[in-house]
Amino acid sequence: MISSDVIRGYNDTMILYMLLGGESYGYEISKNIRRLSEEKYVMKETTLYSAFARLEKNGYISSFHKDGESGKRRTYYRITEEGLAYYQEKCSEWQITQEVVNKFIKEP
Amino acid sequence: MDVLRAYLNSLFAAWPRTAQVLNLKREMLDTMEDKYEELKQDGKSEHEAIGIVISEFGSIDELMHELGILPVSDDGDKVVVSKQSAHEYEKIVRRSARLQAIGWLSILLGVAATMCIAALKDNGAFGNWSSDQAYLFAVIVLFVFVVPAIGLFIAGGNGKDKYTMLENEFELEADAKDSVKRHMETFRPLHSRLIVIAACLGTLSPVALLIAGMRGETEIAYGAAIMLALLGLAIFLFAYAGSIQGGYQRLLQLGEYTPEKKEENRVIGRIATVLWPLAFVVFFVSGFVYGRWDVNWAVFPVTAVLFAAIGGVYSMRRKTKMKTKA
Repeated sequence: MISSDVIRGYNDTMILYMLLGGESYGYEISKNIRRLSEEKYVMKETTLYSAFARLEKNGYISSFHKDGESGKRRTYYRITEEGLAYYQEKCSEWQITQEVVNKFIKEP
Repeated sequence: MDVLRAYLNSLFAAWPRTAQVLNLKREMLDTMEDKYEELKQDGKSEHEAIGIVISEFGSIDELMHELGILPVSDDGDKVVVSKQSAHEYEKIVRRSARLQAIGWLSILLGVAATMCIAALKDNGAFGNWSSDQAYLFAVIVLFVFVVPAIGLFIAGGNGKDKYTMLENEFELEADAKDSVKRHMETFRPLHSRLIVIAACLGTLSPVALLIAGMRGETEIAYGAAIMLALLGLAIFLFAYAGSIQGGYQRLLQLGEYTPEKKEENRVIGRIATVLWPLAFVVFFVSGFVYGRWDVNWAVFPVTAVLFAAIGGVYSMRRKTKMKTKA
């Protein structure tokens, strides 16, 4: 398990990545994050919904209601232009962060 | 899933039931149920599935903090004041500050005018008027000033009854707090200027009395009247600046309006409602019955000092009591 302190700054990035391929809803996003991280990271429910609120407030995602395949009415999220720009910004930030931190990491 | 629903209900119980929160709760329940169903399909037992879903829920405090939502207090009587009603309250405070300040000025000017009339009568300015006629005239003049003042006080209090919740404990919405703070900062320079001018007027006002005293015995009453008029101006400024500042402090629960101070002020307020009318009774009785307009104005400064002393002793005793309790 990864400490949530370390990963906190990138929760939003992960969610935006999940929306790059198209609209999605809460559980699908959280399931895909778990799958992509090979079960190493599980985003808590409250973390997920905090991020939705924050991203929507900043205009990085927009939400709308839609009936899912199972017939359940759900809130779907879609990435916006601004969200895409923010995502790219975070990607280059991570490149640098990684380079810097790596300089201080010794292979065990 | 009833267990998950009950779990969420208990977590959300401490938070306000706004549309936003209820929506969020429903969304989260959906997600948790999806997760639960899938875990069961993967062959987990009911108990295991519920255990996993709950362990992956996270912290509701963190979520509400992110949304800027404040908890409902345990005792339920702590009201949350919105930005809109905070701004409305500011407007009402400004209006009532203006009206009540004019009211004070009018009362003091009325008393000053009454004293002038008494002095004029004593100095024979009304020719062959009888004392009764002069007194009647003085009373009418006093009423002309005091009655509108009472009207202003009542009008100034209007609309404040909607905000009685501010008398007790309350919570100001986060963004309301910031904006009220900004308004208070903008008002600060004007407030200091008004207070300084008022203090100067108040301190200089006895000079009028001194000058009049030097000009002769018969002039003292005029000096006192001028002094009262100057004091009226000082009180006008103090009341105006003080009420607005007080309104801000009340909203932000600062200074005189912290929860501990509020109780203290309630008691001191009760003392004031007895003491000041008593001072006026003494003033009018000594004036109209005994005709001592020349000295009886002294009852006001004496009451002010007495009032300050009583208030001071009370809050000191309260502080010691609280310390010994702690």
